[in-house]
Amino acid sequence: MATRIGNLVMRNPVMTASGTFGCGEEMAAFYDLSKLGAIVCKTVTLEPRRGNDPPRIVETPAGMLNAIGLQNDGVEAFIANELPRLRQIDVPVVANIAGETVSEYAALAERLDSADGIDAIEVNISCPNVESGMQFGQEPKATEKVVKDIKRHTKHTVIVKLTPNVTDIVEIAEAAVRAGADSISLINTLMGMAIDSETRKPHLANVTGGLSGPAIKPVALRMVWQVAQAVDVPVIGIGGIVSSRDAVEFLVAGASAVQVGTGNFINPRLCLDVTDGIEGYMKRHGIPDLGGLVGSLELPG
Amino acid sequence: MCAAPDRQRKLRAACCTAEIVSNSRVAGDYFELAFSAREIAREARGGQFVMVQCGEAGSFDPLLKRPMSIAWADRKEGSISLLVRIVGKASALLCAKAPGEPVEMIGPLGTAFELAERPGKHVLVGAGAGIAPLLLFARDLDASDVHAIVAATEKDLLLCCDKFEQLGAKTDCSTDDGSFGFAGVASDLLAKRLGDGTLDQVAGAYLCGPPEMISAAARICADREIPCQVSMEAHMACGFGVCLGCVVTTKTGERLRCCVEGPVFAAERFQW
Repeated sequence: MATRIGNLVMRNPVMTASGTFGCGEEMAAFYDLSKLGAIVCKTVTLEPRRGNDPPRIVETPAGMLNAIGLQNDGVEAFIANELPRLRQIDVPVVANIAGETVSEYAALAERLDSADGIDAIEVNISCPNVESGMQFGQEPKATEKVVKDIKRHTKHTVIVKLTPNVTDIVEIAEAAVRAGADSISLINTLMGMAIDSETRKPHLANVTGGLSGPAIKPVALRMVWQVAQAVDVPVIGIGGIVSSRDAVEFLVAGASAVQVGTGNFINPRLCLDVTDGIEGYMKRHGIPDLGGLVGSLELPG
Repeated sequence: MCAAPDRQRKLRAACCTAEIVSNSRVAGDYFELAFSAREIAREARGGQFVMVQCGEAGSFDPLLKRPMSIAWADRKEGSISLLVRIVGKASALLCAKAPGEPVEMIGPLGTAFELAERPGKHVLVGAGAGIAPLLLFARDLDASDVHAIVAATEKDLLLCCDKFEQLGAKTDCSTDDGSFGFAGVASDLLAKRLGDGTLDQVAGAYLCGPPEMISAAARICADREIPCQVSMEAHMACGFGVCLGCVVTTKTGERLRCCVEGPVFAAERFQW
């Protein structure tokens, strides 16, 4: 079940979604992380961020909203504290970066280029909770600019993570690929809101937040399918995967790999279950390798 | 059965398919549920909690597990107990389950109350279901050193008094409406006891309950320089430290996770 995304070589197509796995320290209590395809770490920014005031999360039908606000200790702390620990584990590590300006993204890419223990970079141009983050991924020109500059500053495989809060996801994907993206991952969260009818106040201190979980899977699947049709680089599918059957649907739609996010909260061992399930599916259907599954959707007519 | 926890890690929690051993209403809309969960029972300490699947396995409604304080753990029997109040859909579903039903849970999670190391009484102050983790904490204490303040809105909603008495601990009740024990709130009773000679030497205070009670009681302890630990509550998505949804903010502006750095914190870290 080995998969390759640019120079990122994974033993299986199951990765963790940024922001749902920390940097693996807590999850290591539940299973051997070396069984994962890859760990995608929580977003790092140049400077530490305290994130948004609580309440930051609220459950919604078949999903949840989050407005964490990219709380993290900054790239220097990531390099000093997280990478040494991750290097002890035999699993590929993908750093996820976000900035408020093109130069911040470039500075992050450059800084991580000389850090030991990273196998790829995922670019978060799609966080709906931070004003600036939204701008890049909603605009093809801005997307192109950011990705171009990042590519100039790193030798690593660059995965660009798209926001679904756009009119035309294909347009954004194409812009990222034109600029040199080695892979596109999608989707990040859908922008949403929840109101407490008794207090007549928003449930989130930030008012709006990002929707994730099973509720978003149909949107994610559709976008993965559309983007996979349109670009030549590998696509990574994210959005509401809580079973191996969900993961297979993304592979069939054209994803070469998948990320599991919110599902980890419900079942900390979900990534293992998904991996085992994909393997079982391939055996049952007599598919010898992933290439036979990826993009195998049969359309009518 | 439980998948074994990794003992090398700071986080020593297990994913467990617990089985309901008993379920009974103890007062009002409060239920006591006992589960067979050997790995959790072995490790659980007072103050820690479990994340509980309240709906059917695989159901999306509710989607996320709910955090619940562990009220009791019997290592020999391999069982734990939870004191659950029906406040919404998830808790209602859980409290409707019957003995024999499986319930997925993760635990024990979070920090436990730690014994204050100085001479004197250990004053446990619990309001409503907040008394639950304090009961488990009391299990590991010398009962003669324990003074448990158990608070409720009314007599029929006082919880766990019999259990503290079984441990041999001093049980001191307060009810908002005066229907039993001291008439007033927990913090008023605490202040009274600290002033009337009952609690001359206090090693430490341990608080669990609604935010208003914790604020008031923590301030009382701060004024008298009594080491104080508080159990903080927050909405949780994961319960084991990865989502950053459950943070509380300290005096110095630091964001701490209720599920990893907490739920038990030193009261002095916060502004009350």
